[in-house]
Amino acid sequence: MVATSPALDTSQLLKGVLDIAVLAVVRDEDGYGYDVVRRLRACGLAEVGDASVYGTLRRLYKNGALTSYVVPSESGPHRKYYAINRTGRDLLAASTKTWREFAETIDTVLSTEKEAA
Amino acid sequence: MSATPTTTREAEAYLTAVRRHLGDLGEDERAELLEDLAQHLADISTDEENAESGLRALLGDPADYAAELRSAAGLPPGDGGGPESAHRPWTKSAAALWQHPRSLGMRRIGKELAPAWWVLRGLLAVGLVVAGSPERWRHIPIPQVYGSRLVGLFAIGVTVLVSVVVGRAGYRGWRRVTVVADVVVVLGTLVLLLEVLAMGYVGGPSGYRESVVYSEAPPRALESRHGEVTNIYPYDAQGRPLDGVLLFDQDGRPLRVGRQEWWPDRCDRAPSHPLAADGVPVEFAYPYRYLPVEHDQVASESDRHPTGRSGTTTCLEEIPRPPVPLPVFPPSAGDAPQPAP
Repeated sequence: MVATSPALDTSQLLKGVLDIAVLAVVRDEDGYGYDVVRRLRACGLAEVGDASVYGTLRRLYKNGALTSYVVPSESGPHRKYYAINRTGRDLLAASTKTWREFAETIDTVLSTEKEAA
Repeated sequence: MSATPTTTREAEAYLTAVRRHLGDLGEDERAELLEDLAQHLADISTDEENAESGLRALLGDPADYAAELRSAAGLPPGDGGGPESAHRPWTKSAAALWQHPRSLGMRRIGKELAPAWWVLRGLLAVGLVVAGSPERWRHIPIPQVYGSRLVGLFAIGVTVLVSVVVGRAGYRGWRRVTVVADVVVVLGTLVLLLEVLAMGYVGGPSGYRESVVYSEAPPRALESRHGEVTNIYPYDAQGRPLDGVLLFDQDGRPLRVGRQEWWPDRCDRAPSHPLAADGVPVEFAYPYRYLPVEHDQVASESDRHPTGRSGTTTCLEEIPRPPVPLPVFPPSAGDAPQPAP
């Protein structure tokens, strides 16, 4: 899937919240890179770029919000799985709260504007 | 290390291209990222949905992929690809440090403390401007700009407001200016502090007196809590006024007082000291006799004391002693012999 150009609004928004989206997906179930990409797309985030997901996974891992382990497999390559940990859960909880408040604020601004118009 | 995933020519080419765009990263980082990508390419190829599309259609240009990957991974943007650039270790470790959770935490704290700094720098800015004036003690706690505390207060309000507004808005273009301003304020404050510490205290026991040491220190006049002492009137225990009393301090040094410059009757006077046998005036004999000064008839305007009058018949020779609250001692004490005048 081609990553859409930055001119589209939703892809800009996505950059801001990809962290919590990825954390939420991994919280539900440990996943490897392409698995996480597919799950995000299945949720409706059609525009999420593969590179963004992989980069986000890597960054969250480096910042200690995810752990990783390798699952050996006879038929295919060994896969690197990501799992959420305590830090990740805390981060997800805090970020979710922030997101909810932010969304509410924007809703308020939008509805106020509607009334004014 | 995983077994080599099934690769196609296309996948190899893609990998190589992306590797090129990650050339400036550290070995380990790059290896990890490419390993992920290799795995990803393998996964994509096995997905039936993607059978029709080429890798470029699915993933985009390798340069774009690399850029997006860096951005999401929190890595610094590359220099547009090209052959593997020479490793610059310190920029990489600087980048790694910058991204470290600890430094992120500290930056967060710094951001939270920023408003306090904005207020402080506004105060310090005004303080530094007036700190150049010689009478520093006047400017604590509120600087007197043009001699007025009110103007100083207003100036502080303005500078703090400007400082906070600039701090909050974080104007991109002003960033350099604000950094320079911050450095100047901090350095100026440090210099000021060092100066104050080196020169001694500000303010003193008998009210506010500057203790700045000049290169040729004028002799310190005797001071009481009411101000400068310019004469001493001794009395004995019976309340008789004494003359020609010689006074010494606890170290045996002669006690000297200041010189009175101004009298209520506007006359110019100078102290007249008794002369010792060797002709040297004794300046520590009390009380001082201030006698009117004779001015030359042809003295010009500038020579005279601006408000003084010359020693004419209108100036009193003897200044009467001020009334004093003499205590009454019990009769047994104080049968001291009278000193010779």
